[in-house]
Amino acid sequence: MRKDKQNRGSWRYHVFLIGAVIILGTPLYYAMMMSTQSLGETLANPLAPGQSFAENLERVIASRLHITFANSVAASLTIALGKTALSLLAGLAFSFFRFRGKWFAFAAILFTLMMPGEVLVIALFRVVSVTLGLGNSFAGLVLPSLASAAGTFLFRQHFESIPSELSEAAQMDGMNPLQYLAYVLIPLSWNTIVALFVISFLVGWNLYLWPLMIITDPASQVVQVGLSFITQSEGLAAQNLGPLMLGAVISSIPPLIVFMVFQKHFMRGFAISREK
Amino acid sequence: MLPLIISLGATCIGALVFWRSFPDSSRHRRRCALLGAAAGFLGPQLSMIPLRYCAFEPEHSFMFSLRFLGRETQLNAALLVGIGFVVLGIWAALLVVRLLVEQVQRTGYIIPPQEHSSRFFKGWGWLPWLLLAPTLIAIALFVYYPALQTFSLATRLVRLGIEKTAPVCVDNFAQLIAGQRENAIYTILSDGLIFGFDNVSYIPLLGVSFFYAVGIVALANLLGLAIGNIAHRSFRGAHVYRTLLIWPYALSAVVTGAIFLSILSPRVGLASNLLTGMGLPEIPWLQSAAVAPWAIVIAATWNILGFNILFYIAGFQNVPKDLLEAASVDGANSRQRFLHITLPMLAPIIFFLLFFNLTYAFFDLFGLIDKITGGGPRGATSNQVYEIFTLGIRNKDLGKAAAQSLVLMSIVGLLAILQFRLLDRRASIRA
Repeated sequence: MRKDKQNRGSWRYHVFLIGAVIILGTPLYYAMMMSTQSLGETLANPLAPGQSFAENLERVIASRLHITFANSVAASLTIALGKTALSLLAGLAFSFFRFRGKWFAFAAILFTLMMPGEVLVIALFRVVSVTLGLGNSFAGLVLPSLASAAGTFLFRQHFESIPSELSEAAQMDGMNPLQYLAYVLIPLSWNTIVALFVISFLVGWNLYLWPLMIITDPASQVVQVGLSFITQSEGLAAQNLGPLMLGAVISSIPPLIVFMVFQKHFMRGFAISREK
Repeated sequence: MLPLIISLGATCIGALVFWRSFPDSSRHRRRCALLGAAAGFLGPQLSMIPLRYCAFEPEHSFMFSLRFLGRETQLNAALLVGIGFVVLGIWAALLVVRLLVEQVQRTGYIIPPQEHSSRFFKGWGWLPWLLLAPTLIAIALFVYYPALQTFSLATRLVRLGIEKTAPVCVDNFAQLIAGQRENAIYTILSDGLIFGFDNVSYIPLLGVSFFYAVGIVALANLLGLAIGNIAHRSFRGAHVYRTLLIWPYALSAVVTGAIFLSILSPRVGLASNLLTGMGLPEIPWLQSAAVAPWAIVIAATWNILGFNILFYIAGFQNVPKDLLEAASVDGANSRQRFLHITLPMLAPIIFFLLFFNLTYAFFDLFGLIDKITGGGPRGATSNQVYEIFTLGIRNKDLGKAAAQSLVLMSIVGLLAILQFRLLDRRASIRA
């Protein structure tokens, strides 16, 4: 009887949700259509595919989006790898050792959890560019993103859920902590590792304010900033946003793929790292 | 003389507050009052000793006029900032000490003793520190040191690209209050760059930030609830919608900004196309100071709505079906069921999303604003983070930008305290 009731009402759900999908999807569809259009085609019919994909692509390549794209791949992979590795090691230290000063180390890391990077960005800029002399360098771009309080807690929490017996057995077998990490913990933690890696990759890919400040050379810029090189390119009418849209679509391919492949991991990891 | 008076006053306040707030533990009452006195004394010193109490020196004034009850009053902004620092210092010191005292009263220790567990590896003295070293060094270098630097930069005249700095006491803060934004005089710098906001009154900026916060939180949660309420149900094809609805969340702020720039751009954009197609007048999304902030709110909501929908779907699915059925057998209509069963069960998720979206609205809009409006028209869409960038990097005034960062930091603190307070209350309601 319940099933009946559900089916009777369900066409309304379809109408409602199709409406929602259309409204939320229109900007995406519009961006994709625009990336194939010239200004004239946009004015004629903004919601139909145009003929100017090749021209737009030429402009995008002329403003060297492929270079900033590659820079972004390198930076986000480095950030994701570094963050995951650092958090893994810190989680290991907190979960499997008893040592003097543990509480202070823990509190020091915990406290940074609520500090958004934007608040410190001015002083950080001066520290990295003046004190460390890393202005306009790859190291200056990625290093500030490496430490992660959320990642450390993610692993700590995950490791505490692993039965103590495993660690006891490992110690009796004479394993050292690093062997335990390599042979027992990592194989048991792939879900968490992938989740953190994927989130960190997306966060690194979306960095904008920091690269805008620290990188001054267009050739080492990241793709989010590189998009504005398209609109600044010579001889382009200010209203012709087709090339910019193509650039936006291209720069969204990696996060979309990551999102598609790892959706389950991603949301699970996000839920854990944010709710706890 | 003045430092003495301030310190004495702060000590008395600390003692009094602690004397009054621990009336039950009479045995410890005197000791608590002493602690409060010490905290009260130390509070203002934290900010005032580095500044050498300069905000209270008569030669250091920053006058501005304020119309109050029809009368023009002359006020000294530097003095106000100084008083603000002292009050904040006392408050922060008392809060920290009070939390510690409560912790000791409740548990008997400040630093919790470490558990014994067979999980722990024994006899690796320095290894845990070695494992922690990269993380600790990174947060020391890229979080704690910049945080301290922010304090020192905020009290100095610091120009981008110039090594030398000069102390300016609280001028950077005083200008937040005394500066004028309305007549945003576009000054021409000696190096020929044109920029606005040389002298910014902070109040309109706060207004924009709060408008974003309220608008985004309200829209993203109402729409998220409405869509989640339908999309969580089990019917054929439901999971397809669920996947389709969260896509915008995969896009970066910059890409979202670029898309909305092209949708809202005058004459050629989709929005104006649709409106003129229906014979309606165009809306000046990006040119009107009254409409432009809405464009930011709409774009931001579109970007993050998928995240909220996902969490609301999970939340709705966790509401026990038998509870709802029992209520409907008892004659509760769907509105009553929603208000009295579903909504309370969703409370933790609503609470989480509220703070998550609030943090987003305050701190993550930079790329969006930069792409869609560039802070314009005439600063109408610029929020605090955007202003920090404009001031610090474009206008090369790192000192003033650092002062604004500190204001933003206090908002972070407020949000954190609010979150903990509400969490506490929720926990006590449940228990």
